[in-house]
Amino acid sequence: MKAFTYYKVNSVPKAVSLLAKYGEKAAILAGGSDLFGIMKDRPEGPKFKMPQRLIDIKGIKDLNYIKDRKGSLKIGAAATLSEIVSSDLIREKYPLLAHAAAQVGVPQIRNVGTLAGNLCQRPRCWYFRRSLFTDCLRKGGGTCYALDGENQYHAVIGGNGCCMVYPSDMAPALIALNARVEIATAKGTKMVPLEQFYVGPRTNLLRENILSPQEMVVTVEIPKPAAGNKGVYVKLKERDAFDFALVSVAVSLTRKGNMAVNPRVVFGGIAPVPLRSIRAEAVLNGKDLKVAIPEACKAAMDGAHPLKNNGYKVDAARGVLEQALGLLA
Amino acid sequence: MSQQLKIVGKRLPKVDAWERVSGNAQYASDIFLPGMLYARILRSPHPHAKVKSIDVEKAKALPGVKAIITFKDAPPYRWHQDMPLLTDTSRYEGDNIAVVAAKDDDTAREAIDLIKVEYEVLPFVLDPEEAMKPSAVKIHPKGNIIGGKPFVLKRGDMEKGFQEADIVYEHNYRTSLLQHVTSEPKACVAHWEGGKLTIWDSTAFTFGVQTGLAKALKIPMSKVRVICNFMGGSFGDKSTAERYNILASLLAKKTGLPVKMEYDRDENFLTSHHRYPTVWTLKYGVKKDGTLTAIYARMIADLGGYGHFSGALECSGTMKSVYRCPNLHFEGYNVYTNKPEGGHMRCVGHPQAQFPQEAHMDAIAEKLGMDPVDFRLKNYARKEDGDQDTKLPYASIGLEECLKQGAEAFGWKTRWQKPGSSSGPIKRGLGMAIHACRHGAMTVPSSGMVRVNSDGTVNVLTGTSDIGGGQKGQLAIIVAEELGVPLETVFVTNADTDVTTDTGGSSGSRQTMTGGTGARLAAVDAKKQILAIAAAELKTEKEKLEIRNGSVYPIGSDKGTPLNVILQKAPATIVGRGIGRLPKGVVMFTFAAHFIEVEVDTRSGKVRVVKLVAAHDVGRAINLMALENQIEGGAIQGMGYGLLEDQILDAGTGICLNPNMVDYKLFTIKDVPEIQSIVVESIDPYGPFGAKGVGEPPYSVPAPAIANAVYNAIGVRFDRIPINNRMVLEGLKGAKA
Repeated sequence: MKAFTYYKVNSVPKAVSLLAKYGEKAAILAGGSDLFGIMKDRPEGPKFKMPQRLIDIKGIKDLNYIKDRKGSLKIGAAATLSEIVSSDLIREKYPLLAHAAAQVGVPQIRNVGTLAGNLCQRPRCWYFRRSLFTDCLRKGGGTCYALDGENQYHAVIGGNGCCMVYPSDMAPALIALNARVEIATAKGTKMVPLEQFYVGPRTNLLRENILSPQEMVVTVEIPKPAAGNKGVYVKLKERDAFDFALVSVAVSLTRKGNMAVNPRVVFGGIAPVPLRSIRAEAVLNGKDLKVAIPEACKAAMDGAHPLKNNGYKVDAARGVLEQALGLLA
Repeated sequence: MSQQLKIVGKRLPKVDAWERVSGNAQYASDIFLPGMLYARILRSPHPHAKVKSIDVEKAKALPGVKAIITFKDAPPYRWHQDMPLLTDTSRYEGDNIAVVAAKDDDTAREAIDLIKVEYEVLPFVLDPEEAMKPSAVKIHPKGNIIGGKPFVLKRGDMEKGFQEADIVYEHNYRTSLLQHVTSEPKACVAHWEGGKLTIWDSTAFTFGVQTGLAKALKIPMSKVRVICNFMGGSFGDKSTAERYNILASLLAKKTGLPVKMEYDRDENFLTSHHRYPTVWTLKYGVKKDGTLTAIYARMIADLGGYGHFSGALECSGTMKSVYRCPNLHFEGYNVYTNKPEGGHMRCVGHPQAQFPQEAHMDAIAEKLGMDPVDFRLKNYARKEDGDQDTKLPYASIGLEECLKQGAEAFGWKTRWQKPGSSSGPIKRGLGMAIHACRHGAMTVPSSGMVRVNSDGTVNVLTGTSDIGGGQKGQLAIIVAEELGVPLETVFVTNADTDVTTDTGGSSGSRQTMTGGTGARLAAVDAKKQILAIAAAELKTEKEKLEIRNGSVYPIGSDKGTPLNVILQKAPATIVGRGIGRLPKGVVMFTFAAHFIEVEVDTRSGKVRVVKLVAAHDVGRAINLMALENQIEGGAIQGMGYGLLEDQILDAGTGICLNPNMVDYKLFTIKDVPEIQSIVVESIDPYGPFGAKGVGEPPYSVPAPAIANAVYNAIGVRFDRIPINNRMVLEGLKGAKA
């Protein structure tokens, strides 16, 4: 790792003023489980350089909390994944979120990894992560090495331009729960639905979300779930710990008798963004859940365009959705 | 050997467990010497390239840089036969171009970045079948088939064997490229005092490093001291003098300062002598009653950019030995590709051969309508078969007991069903495989020393490296048992070439045999000396005395004299010396049978191992806890071989895509099923107290047993490993189509 300037800040205004000053040359440091990995590997490209200044936000007290506010849930950006896993409030009212957090990495990573860090992590594409692939599109180069390369772990949907998959476990779960993120800059804050936080390669090849270099996530807010809401997160991994999703799916829906109402189905690991399946949701909405499962699974993967090595992920995505819906039926 | 064993066979913790878990153990990277420099290697980013120019001026000018050596000024020494210390022609990604020593690690890394190299990028070849074609780019001047021809092994008349057969079954198989992934990457510290080199190294073979360094540096062996107090894993890596040992020593010589060289994880992935990939065609002939009549195997060992041994020869042992068959033709090519260098990894060669052979046997059993266990029982090579080419029998064999006890514990006969029998999306399947190999035998001479101190405590001096298998404890137990002293009075000083003797490397599962035999015979020698002194002192004959629990007793009496009292009369410190060697004509083998139950989720392609019964013929258990640890650890690694592990090189660039522990997937503890170890004691006549080695065989058996179990679950047979989600889902789709 190259030497960097380290700032320990104790307030959000202090953090964003540093971001305003240093922009792309700075990065927010919380758990560091993703950031330090990248800084050690140094996968630089024409438009991707290692940060020279790290702004450590672990000391900001009002970024680390999990609380109920008038029935909705607010989680500070620096709350750790372990804290989310073990929060009674979350386990009781938002079990989907606890499921997802428990599936991240290993306990050591969950102990340091934070919620916002998980939401803002960089892609795991092995061409992106290895320093020798300097011409990678996502580093500002001109080549997608994965498109004709070893793409068994890559996108089966929406991979035009860059076929990496977004690796977060928390994002699908939070989008299924209709969460919003609060974003701070030196000029103030704004709330954005998490679903609109992520952008595909056609919108921006160099970043996975709408954050500008001057902005940071400070809060995640989840609205009060409807009565009868149920949720589940199913993650398919090649091994049982310390693995990113081959495919994952978060499902949140409200049961009315046998019926599923207002379902939200969000996949991880199959597209450059956490991907809502509007088609599967449409099939499920207002139907007898058990009956609708096969059609929903089929519809969920309509429009998939697998690459040379990843056709199996289409089957796997249907498989995990079948499993998830089965758990809710 | 008929006496009651007091310590051998108990369940005992590691003798150095406390040091290991408390952080007090001193590994090579824990060595810090005054003025010590840090070395880094400049590695080629191309799998095949020629250096056109190299400019080190900027790096040299960086404050804190003390020495730079490039391929231009490196000694012409070739590591093994074809590997330069530093090269102007990169033969795989990560090949050594230059090396830097600087005042700290950051400066060394910065200096590496400042070295400017211009490469002429050459065409590269990754596929061994492509590499064998005459049109392929030549990686070494004499072409890509090492030695220009295959290694061939023949027995009987193969054609006649096929004529006698009722069924002839032919199929192709492939195995992947695997890494040892030792918990401790390669590390050493080299330090010269006058003309004498001391090197602290993470090595399974200090004497191998000593010999290699003496040869490379052209200095006498007496001037090279290699020390390995503790190390974090070997699995076949770190088993000889490596290029980095020589480079660190050269830099230390050049600067007059100690030099530390410690690899990053990715360097270990790129440059270890890993499990080489293989490509197979098997054709076996069998009679209706299940008798094997002919074995034909053609294979390719993909040895990567350099070849220092015959990968084909290492694989041939499996086809040659496991089953009784009068007619055999084995033909194996050792081939260069632009991959990392192939070499030794746990049970070298056999896992690559076991997977195809045991999958092949499973398929044949099905064609015959025979139970796979019965088919093995019918064909395994018996004690009297032994080495079927030299006609020498095995010294000991417990394979039939492994098969029978394992099957019994597993419930094979009652639970095994025809393939694809279970309903629902999650299918259950059972599979099994057997193993026989020469690992665990005494393949090199053994030696050892035992010093009995005047207070009656004992120091064992042995060259044996404790690579994590509990080798130190094994030797302590063997000596304590033989000498008749309490285990806690025995201390093992090991793996230091200045004070111990060569017992061969801690590879080949051999240290219980070599280190153990040397130490046991040294204890016998020490005992003889002590009893002679005691006999004079107690005015009796030494044959009428014995040592028990640290005291000398007249046999049958309970009135003993403590050793420290007897030893007051010793003329000098008692030093026992042991030398052991397997007599000519003895064939020593180890054996195993594994039984595995899997669940295959047909929706996700996920294979989960539910249960493993691992039965091993170990000769005799020296320490049950260490033994079960070896069986379980080996089997866990072997399950990863069957299901997950695969080092992937990009076809377009030849660059490794997963030189890290996220993307190269080892089994985690959460993936591990219930493992039941069954210890079969065949009491080998040549092993210490009848023991044989066990470190490697547990690795070789699970992968084919898993493949057979997966077939039993879903009716799709896989001829490649690892059997990951992708392979299962594609296989299921293929079966439907």
